[in-house]
Amino acid sequence: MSQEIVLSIRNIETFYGPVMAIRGISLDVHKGELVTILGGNGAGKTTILKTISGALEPRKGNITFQGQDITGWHPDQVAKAGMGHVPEGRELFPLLSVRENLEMGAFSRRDRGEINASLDLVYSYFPDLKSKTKVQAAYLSGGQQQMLSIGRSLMMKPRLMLLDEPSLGLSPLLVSEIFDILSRLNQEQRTAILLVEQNAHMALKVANSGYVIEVGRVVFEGDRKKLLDSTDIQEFYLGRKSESERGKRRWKQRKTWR
Amino acid sequence: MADERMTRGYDIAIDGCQTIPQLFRKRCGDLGPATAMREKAYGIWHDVTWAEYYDMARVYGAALMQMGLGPGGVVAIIADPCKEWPLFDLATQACRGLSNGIYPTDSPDQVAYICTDSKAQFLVVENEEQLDKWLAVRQDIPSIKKVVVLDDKGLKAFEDSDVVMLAEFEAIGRAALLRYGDEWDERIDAGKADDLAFLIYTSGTTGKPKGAMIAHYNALWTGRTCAETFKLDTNSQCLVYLPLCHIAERTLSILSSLAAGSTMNFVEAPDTAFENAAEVSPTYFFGVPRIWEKMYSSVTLKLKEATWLGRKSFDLALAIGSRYAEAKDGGNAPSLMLKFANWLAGRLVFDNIKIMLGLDKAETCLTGAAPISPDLIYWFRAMGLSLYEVYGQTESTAIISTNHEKANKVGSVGKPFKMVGVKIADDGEILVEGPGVFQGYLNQPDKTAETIVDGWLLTGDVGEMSSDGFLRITDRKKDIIVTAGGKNITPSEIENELKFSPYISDAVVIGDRRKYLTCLIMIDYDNVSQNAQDRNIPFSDYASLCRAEEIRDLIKNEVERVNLKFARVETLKDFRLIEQQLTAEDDELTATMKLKRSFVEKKYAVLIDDMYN
Repeated sequence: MSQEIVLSIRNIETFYGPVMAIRGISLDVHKGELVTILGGNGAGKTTILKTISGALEPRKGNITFQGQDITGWHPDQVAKAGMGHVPEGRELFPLLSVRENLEMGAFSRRDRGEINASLDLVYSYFPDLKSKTKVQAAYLSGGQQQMLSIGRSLMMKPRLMLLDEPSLGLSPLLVSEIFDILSRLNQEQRTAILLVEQNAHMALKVANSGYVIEVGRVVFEGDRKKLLDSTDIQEFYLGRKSESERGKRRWKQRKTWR
Repeated sequence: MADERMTRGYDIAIDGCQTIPQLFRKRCGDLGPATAMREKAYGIWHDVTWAEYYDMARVYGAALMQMGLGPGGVVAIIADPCKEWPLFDLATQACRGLSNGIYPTDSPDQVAYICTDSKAQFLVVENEEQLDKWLAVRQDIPSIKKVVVLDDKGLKAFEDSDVVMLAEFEAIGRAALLRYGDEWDERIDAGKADDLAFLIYTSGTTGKPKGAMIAHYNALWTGRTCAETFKLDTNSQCLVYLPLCHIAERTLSILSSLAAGSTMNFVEAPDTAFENAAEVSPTYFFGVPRIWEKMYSSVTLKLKEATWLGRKSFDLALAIGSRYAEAKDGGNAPSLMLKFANWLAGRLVFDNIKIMLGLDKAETCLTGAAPISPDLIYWFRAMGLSLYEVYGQTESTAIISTNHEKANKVGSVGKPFKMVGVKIADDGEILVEGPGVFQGYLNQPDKTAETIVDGWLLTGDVGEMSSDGFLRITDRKKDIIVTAGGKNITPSEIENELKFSPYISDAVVIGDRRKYLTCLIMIDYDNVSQNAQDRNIPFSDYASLCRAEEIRDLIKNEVERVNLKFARVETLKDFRLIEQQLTAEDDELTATMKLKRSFVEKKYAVLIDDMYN
């Protein structure tokens, strides 16, 4: 793995009004790496991504992207710097066609030829979209919408993609298809990915390393092997239950994160 | 064994009652409709009157008799504090059986060991989790006839001929009452002062746990003495939140409430103790040092987030409060001015903090079961809380000496309780005699003979008695470190100073037969992570926090600050942080969250050796 750090966040704290959602988080994404953030509902995963991409401003801490301090930058500046954010729930332009949606992704680019190349790249990864270029985004299936959302962010030629629950509301088959594509993107295009997921099974299949967040703090970090070996991850995120004498047990061991 | 057991000439009776069940029957009869206990269920506090308390115990007792509990039979209980705990405890004793509490954090093997050693016939388990422990080791404990499950959540489909759910158990009891109603009273009447009441397995920092045998007169004396000394009455309220298998919680809740007729309030779960305390506002409160350290940390942490004015006024109030407390402890009447300033500090600053902690009505606060830093006591006393250090052990049935309103000397463990004789042996060991001295260890006559010599209990603690009668504990005898240079060092004094730091949760000083002293430190995660965050020190999980250079420096500063207080030979030359967050389930900690010295020394031998190379 390359040692070069693409994204590094240090001690960020983010508030929603008086509520402290992120209570001091530090994490790194190396070049070409796929890093996952796991955590329950309300742990602060989405908030972290929004803070990184500039949609929210941290009250404390700093964010460095490709050697540049981007703390407090506006989302459009962050996007121009080469970071794509695929938001939770896709957030497409429903009345625009697939092609128009993709072109919106390249809104800030002026190099027409290059844009077409990017378009071809997106279609090569998501052939489903190519057959529907003229169709309004609203009429796509959930899986296609997710593909379009990822495709739109690829139009920026991002060095880092922030993905917020790409598996949301998708069938298991589609989930694994999307994750295959993400994995390929990561390997072939050397795009670093920071992936927030509820589906820990899938996330840990493709990730190189990960962080576990609970109530706004990192409680556990490690490479894929360390995460998969952790009994807490197995029990709380992968739903693997150690069998007791009675067979299935309902109670849970206390988490220790080690 | 029965012949050796006597009340040793002590005649302990409360209102004519010779045993705990006799007292229980009398209190319930006299206090009838008054509230005996409260329990919070689904967000609402439910009252249980003394009459109901007694009726339910009778049902439990009838069920136990029906299932074959005879005199001397043992009923083991694995449960967090809940109202069923004293019910099973007292019903068992009323049937002339012995109750035996087991820590809910114990492993299946430990449960098997304790049940086998005590030949337990019945096992009461709190829930599915505890039931699974029995299922894992049931072949090893054939003595268990029946298992009673208090909470059947997740067990609706579970069937086993040896297991009954509480509802079923109560139904058996109600049906059996007709037959056993009279026997219940007969058995209570037949109880004698020197009968055994219960077993307490000492957590055993070394070797297997030992079952300390406590007789009824021991237990009666302890309850009565606490009620008298701490002035408990029918208006007193306590919060039951520590494990009831520990002698301290049992004494101050079940036994004292029987003696004084006071009310017990059971917390929802051990984790909600602080919230529940704020709801109940107990009038007396016992905490192990860790609890007081936690309260101290949470107040200091909140202050950091307070406004400048808030912090300044707290500091000022604390300064006034400590001068006031000093004057009172020194026996001098505080000046009128100081009295007024202290009143004002209380009204403006401390009252709110006390309400937050649930200690606004606490007339007596006690700390014990482990050494505490005197600074911590001063801090609480400055806030106007009467925090007193009490000393005792399982083998003395919880109590030996205490500080109290009339005689308080911070840093000492106070004066011996009434009827307790204390002398210091030539080697400094504290010897105790009195009605609290236990009946020996079950199945271990040689260990018993080592512990009770000529009627004196060898406490295993080393200490001294001041000319004005205050006892001071130096350390556990076996913990005293003799360095390679031949110098005797008492590690707990150093450890207590370390623990007073908000950044250090626990510490173990190492150095026996070594050239110099070192220590292993467990950080206080909340405070250290906050510190790291405040200073922009990046960290992710617990281990990475421990590894951060700045955090090592932070702890190093704390160690150096402590070193200043000690002589050169007593200074710590090096330290290591334990990089794992430990929980009560871990073998390194006792159920009361103390680091086990011998275990830690073995487990972290590599870390320790590293400090001597």
